[in-house]
Amino acid sequence: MLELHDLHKAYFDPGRGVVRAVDGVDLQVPAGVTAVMGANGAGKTTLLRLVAGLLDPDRGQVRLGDLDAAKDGERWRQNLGYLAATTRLPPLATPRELLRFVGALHGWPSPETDARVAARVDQFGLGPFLDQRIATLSTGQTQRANLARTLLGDPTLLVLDEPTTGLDVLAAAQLVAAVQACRAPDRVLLYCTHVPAEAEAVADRLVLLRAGKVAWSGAVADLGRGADLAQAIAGLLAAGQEGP
Amino acid sequence: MIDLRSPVWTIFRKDGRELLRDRRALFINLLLPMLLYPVLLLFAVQVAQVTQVQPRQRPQLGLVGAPSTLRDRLEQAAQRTLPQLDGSPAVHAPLDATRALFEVRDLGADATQLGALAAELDWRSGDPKPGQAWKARVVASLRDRKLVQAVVMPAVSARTAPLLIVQDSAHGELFDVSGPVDRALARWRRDLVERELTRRGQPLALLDPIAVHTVGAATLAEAVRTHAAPMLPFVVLVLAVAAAMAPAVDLVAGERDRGTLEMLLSLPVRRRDLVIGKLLVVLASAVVAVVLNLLSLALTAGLLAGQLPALGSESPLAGILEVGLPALGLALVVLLPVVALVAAAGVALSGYAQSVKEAQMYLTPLMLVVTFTGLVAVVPHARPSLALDLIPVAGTLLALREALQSPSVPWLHLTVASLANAAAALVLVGWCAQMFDREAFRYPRLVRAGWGRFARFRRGEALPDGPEALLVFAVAVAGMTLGGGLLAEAPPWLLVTLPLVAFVALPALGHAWLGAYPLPALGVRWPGWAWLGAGVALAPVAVALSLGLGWLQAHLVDVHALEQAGAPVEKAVRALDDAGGIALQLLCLAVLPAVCEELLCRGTLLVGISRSLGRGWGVVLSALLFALLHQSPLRLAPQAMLGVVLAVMTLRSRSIAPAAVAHAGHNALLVVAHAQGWLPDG
Repeated sequence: MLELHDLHKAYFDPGRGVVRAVDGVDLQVPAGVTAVMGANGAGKTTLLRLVAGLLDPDRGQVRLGDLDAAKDGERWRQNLGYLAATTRLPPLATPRELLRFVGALHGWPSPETDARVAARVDQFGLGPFLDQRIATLSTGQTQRANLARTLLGDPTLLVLDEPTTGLDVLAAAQLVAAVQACRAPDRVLLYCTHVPAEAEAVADRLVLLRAGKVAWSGAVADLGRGADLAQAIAGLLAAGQEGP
Repeated sequence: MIDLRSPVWTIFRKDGRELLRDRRALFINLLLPMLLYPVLLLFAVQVAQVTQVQPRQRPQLGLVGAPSTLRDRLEQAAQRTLPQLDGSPAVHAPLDATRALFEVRDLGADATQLGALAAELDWRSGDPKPGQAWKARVVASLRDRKLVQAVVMPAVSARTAPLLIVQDSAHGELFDVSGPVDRALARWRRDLVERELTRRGQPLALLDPIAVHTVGAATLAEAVRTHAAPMLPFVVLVLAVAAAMAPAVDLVAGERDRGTLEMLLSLPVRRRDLVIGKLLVVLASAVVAVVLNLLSLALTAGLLAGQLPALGSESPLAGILEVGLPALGLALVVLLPVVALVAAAGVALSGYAQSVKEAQMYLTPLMLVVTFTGLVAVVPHARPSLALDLIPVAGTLLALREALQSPSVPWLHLTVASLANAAAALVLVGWCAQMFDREAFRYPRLVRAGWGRFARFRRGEALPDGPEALLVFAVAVAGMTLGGGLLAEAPPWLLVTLPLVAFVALPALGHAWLGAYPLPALGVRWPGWAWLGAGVALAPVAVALSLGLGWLQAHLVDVHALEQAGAPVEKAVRALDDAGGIALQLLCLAVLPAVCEELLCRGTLLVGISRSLGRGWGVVLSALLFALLHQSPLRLAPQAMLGVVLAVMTLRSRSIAPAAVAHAGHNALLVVAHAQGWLPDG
C-alpha cells in the first residue's frame, strides 16, 4: 500500500509566480494499477516525481510500508521502477549492456543478472535488437527496453509517467500490453496518461487531479466504459474550471 | 583491492565505454590535438625560416662632415659603406632614406653648453634660431618621422667633446638604429683613447686592467633542463585541464540535458559512488589526453630538433625530451591530485549549472583561475614553502618545478601539496554528492522561490532571509571600508557619494535582482501622501532626539577619543562642510544617503532579519547595523535610535519612502543647522 499524506509541493515560476503543483494530496493506493489523469499543469508529473523520490515535498509524506520516499533515498530506489516520457537511455549502449548495468548497480551476481535479463528479454520481446545500440532503435523498441529496465529489479513500486508519449499507435498498443504484463500481487503501479482508453486497459483504479488536488478517485469501472468513461473523466476535470 | 563490481567501477565502466564509443568526441578531444602539433609547429618553423631569409631592412646611417675614424667605425657597425652627405640643402633627398644622422657642426659658443641646449630645446616643435638651418632640418625630419636619431658633434677638438643625441623615442625602429650607433660610438671612443695613449707612449693594456674568461660548467642538457623545468608542470597542467573540461561537462550537464541522468538517479546507487565514478572517467580521460599530447609534442620536437638544431636546443619542447621519461612520470603522478581537484571542480560546476551551455560558461573562469594559479611555477626565484604547499594547484606546481630543477627531490613539499590538493578534491566530491541528492540538481529548471537562478538549492518564499541580508550588509561594509581607503585622496563629494551608490544601493538592488524578489516586497512602493507627510513631520523630532542623545553621549563618554576613531568618510563629511555649497551638501549628505541607506537598511536588512527572527529583532538588528554602517563611534547611539524609529515607520507604512523622507529631512536639518553655526563642534 502506497500512502500519500497531506502532500504539498510548490515552485516559483518567473512568469506565473508561486505555483502549487501538488496541494494537499491524501491518497491510499493499494496494490494493482492506478491510473493518474488530469489536464496539463494539474500536477500529475510533480506528484509522480514526489512518489519516485526525485522531488522533495514541501510538506507531507510518501510512504510505502516502513519506507519514506524523502528520507530513505537508496532503499526507496531499491524498490522503485521509474519511467517517464522524459527518461532517455544512453544512446551508445545496447539494451543488454543497459540491463546488466542496472543489475550491477543492484549488486546482483552476474548469473542472477543474466537470468533476470533473459526473463525480461522474453517478456518484452527485446531479443531481435538486444545487442544493437539504443541510438539505432525505434522509439517503441527503446521504450520497451526502458520498461524492461524499470522492471528488472521486480520493484514493489512502479511509476510510469506517460510512457506512450511519442509512440505510434502500434507501438503504444504493444507498450500498453507490456504494462498489463507488469502486474504482480504486491506491486503498486502508478500509470499517468492522457488517454482514457489506456487507463481503461491497464488500470483498476483512477485518480483525477485538478490544480494540484485530488478531484476524484475510485474504481475505473465506476465511471463507465469506453466513450462513457472518457466523457465522465472530461466532465470531472472540467467541473472545477468553470468557477463559482 | 579494487572491487570491479562495485557501483563506482560499474559507473566508471559504463561512462568510460560511452566516452570511447563517441568517436567524434574522441577524435576532436584526443586525436585532433595530436595531429595539430606537428602541423602547427611545422608552420611556426616555416614562418621562422622565411623571416630569417628576409632579414629586416638595416637602417641607413647618414654622415655630415664626420671624421674618417668615426666613419670607419660606423661602417663596421652598419656593415656597409655609408653615404657622405654634404650638409647642403640638397641633402634632403638622401636624407629620406636615412634613419640616423651624424652631423659634425661648428656650434661655436653653443658647443660648451650642449647639455643646456639639449635641455632647453623642444626638438619636436622647436623653432630654431636663425643661422641654424641644420637644426631646422633635423627637427623637421624627426617631426615627419623620417629620422629616428640625430647625433650632433661639435667640430671643435675639445678633449671631452659634448655629444648631442636627439631621437624619436616613440619610433618603432629606434632599437634597430640605436644599437649599431651605440656600438660604433663605443668603438670610436676607444679609438680616441688608444690614439691618445699611443701619443703619450702609454701601454694600451691600461684600457683592459682585468681580463674575464667565462667557462660554462653545466652540460647543455642540464642548462636546458633548468630552463625547461618550469614549463613542464605548467604545460602538463594546462593540457590536463583542457582535456578534463569536455567530459566533465558531458558526463553531468550533458547527461542531464539528454535525459539519461533521470534514469541513473532513479536507480539504487549512492550519490557519492555516482560522483566518484564519473570523476574517475574525467580523470582517466585527462591523463590519457596528457600522455598522448606530450607524446605527440615530444615526437614533433624530436623531428624538428633533427632538422633544426638551433630551434631544438632553445625550445621548451626539447626540454621535455631532455628532462626525460622518469621526470615526466613523476610529473604525471604528482599532478594527479591536482588534476583530480580540477576535474572535481569541473564536475561540481557542471552539476551546478542548469544546462550544458551554462556549464561551459562556468568552466572558462575555472580554467582561467587554474591557469593563473599554475603560473606560479614559472615565476623566477619562487621556492616551495609549507604555506604555499597548502594552496591548491600552486603548491604542487612549485614543488614539482623544484623536483625537476634541483638534484634532490623535495618529498616533504610534494607530499604536503599533494595531500592538500587531494583533501580539496575530496571536499568537492562530498559537496557534489550532496548536490546530486538535491532536487534542484535533478530538475534545475524547477526554480525555487528566493535566490532563483543562483540559489536554487534552497527552499523559501520570494523574500530574502536573514543570512542573505547579512551577506549584503557585509558586502556594503567591506565596500565602504575599502572604498573609503581607496578614495582618500578623492574630492570630498566623491568620497561621500560613490561608496553610498556603489556599496550600499547597488548591493541592495543587485541582491533583489539576483533573487528575483519583487521590489514592492522590499518596501519600494508608494506609501500614500499621508505617510509621506508623517515622514516630513518626523524629521524635526528625529533631529531633537539625535541631538539629545548626542548631548547625553558627550557627557557619558570621551567624545574626543571617539572622534579620533572616525572613519575616512566622517572626515570627508567635515571636508564637505567646509568646501561645498549648501546645495551640494544637501544632495551628498541628506538626499543620497537617505535613499541608498533606506534601500539597504529598511529594505533588505529589515525584511530579511524580520523574516528569519521576527519583526522585533528585525527592527533592533537593522537599526544597530544601520548605525554600524556609518562606522562612526561618535554617531552610534543617535543613528541606532534613528534606525529604530525609521524601521517602525517602514513596517507600519509597508514602504521605505516615508523613512527615506524622514531620514533626508533629519540629515538636511542637521546640515543647515551646522552651516548656520547653530550646532556645537563635534
